[in-house]
Amino acid sequence: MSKKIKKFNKKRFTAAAISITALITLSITAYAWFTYQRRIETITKIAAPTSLAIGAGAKEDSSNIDMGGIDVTDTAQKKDFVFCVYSDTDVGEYKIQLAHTTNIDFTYTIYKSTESETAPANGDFVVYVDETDNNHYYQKGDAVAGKFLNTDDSKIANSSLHDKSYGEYNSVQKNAEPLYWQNTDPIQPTVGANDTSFVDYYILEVSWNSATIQNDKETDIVYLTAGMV
Amino acid sequence: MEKEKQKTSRQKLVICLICAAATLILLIFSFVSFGWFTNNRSVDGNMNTLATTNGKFDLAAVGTAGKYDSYIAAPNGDNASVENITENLITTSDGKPEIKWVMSDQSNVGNDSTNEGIQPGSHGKLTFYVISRQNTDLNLIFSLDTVLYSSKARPISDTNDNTSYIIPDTETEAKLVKGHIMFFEKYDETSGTYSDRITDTFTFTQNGAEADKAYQVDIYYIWPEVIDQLILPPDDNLLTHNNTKLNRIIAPGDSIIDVDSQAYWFAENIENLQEKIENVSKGSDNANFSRDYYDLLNAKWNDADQKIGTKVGYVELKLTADDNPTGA
Repeated sequence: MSKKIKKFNKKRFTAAAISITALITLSITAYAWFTYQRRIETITKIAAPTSLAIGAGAKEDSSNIDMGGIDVTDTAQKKDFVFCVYSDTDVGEYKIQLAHTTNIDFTYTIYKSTESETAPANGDFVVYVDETDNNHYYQKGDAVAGKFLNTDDSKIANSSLHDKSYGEYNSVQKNAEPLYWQNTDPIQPTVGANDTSFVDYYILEVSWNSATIQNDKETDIVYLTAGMV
Repeated sequence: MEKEKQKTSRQKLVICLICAAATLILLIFSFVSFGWFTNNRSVDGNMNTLATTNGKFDLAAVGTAGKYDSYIAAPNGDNASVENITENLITTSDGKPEIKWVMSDQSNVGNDSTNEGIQPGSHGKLTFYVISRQNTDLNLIFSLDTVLYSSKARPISDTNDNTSYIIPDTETEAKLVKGHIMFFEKYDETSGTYSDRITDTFTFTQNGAEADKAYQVDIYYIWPEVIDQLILPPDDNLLTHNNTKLNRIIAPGDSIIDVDSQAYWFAENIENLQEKIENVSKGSDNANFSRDYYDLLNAKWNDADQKIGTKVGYVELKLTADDNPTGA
């Protein structure tokens, strides 16, 4: 008897499962009746912005240009920092501007540079270690020709650009007012034959005379900018 | 005792199943009767591709294929001709409810052979047609959706469907695209202003639509060059960009910026944003105009454009039409 009951219950469950499956199928079919759609679609590109950027060596982020903690007891009396100006689009020509305060008697010089994966046999070069601990070598080329815009002695800023920086405010300590230097002639980026993108490398050399300067924890602010012309 | 318990629980299970089945039957009945009431058509197909025959309408367009069309999976439409349109229509059909949208010259969406995409300042007219397949009243709801892809997207192939390059809606850039690339139902050529902004859906109504007749629908898109075009009064001296005079693109007095939205400025939070917008909206001739507010709003708007251009490679636009039987 119990076997018969079990068999009967099993049939009921099977019938219920089949019914539900059929009902679900029918509901989907009816839902298709109810929902009627047509669609057209298109796709286009977002043009990359025309932008000029400054990076560190190996085209890494500019935050890797670390100019802090220069030790003026270094007998080389100079320290080099690699930076690059780059873009993924055609930007035409550009200029570089260096602005710095004058608390420390440093001399700033920008040199053109070329990158290589191996150490150059001769000449002055800088080693840049990238974020994956690989070495990149940058040969120091010619100094970029340029001039200061607001100084008479290359040491302290005069008043010619004071109002652009501070407006009518006059209580500015003389060494806090930045010197502005720009390269003279617009720079034509070095692009490939079938490319508009480029990476131009430079070396910013900070040099000093150890006879006149000590490690006295002075601080200067340096701004490096590049702009399309 | 144990047998009694088992019997009771089985009975309860059966009752539950019967109730579930009854609910389903009622639901199906309501779908079927609603479908019967609103759309008298038959169903043809299998479980995977349910399609309808003798449908109520199709969507179509006139124009040329886009140079990036191979990046999306929708098929090309079918050629069609209707009595009131002389040009060749590319249309959806029963077998192709979803197709690529061919674009006219006026679309200016940057996917033709001479252009490389869109950028701030781009704008155009997007035209499509609703082809009525029956003599009936048409009440449709259109939804306009965008899907963003990174620059790594490429033509669809057996090994690539570009889904891995989709930028999620939750990303900052996805939100900014919705605020910067704007769609409107109307454009006034005289004033150069747009109205009836499309943020989600818009409707189409054609009472007494005739079978096999195409009804033209135009919508407009614009990616404003600068925020000034949405805020400054017309003819304001600051309404220029790169020494070129610009138009305010919405009517004076209109405002489409939601200050609570993250879709407009690339900034964590701009304090007193409403106050700043109101100040700048009075124009640069106003005695209380704040140049600082103006510069801030511009800078953050431009930062947003930069962000979009840097991260978003491609934008897909999907226009979906649903029959709206209630006419709402």
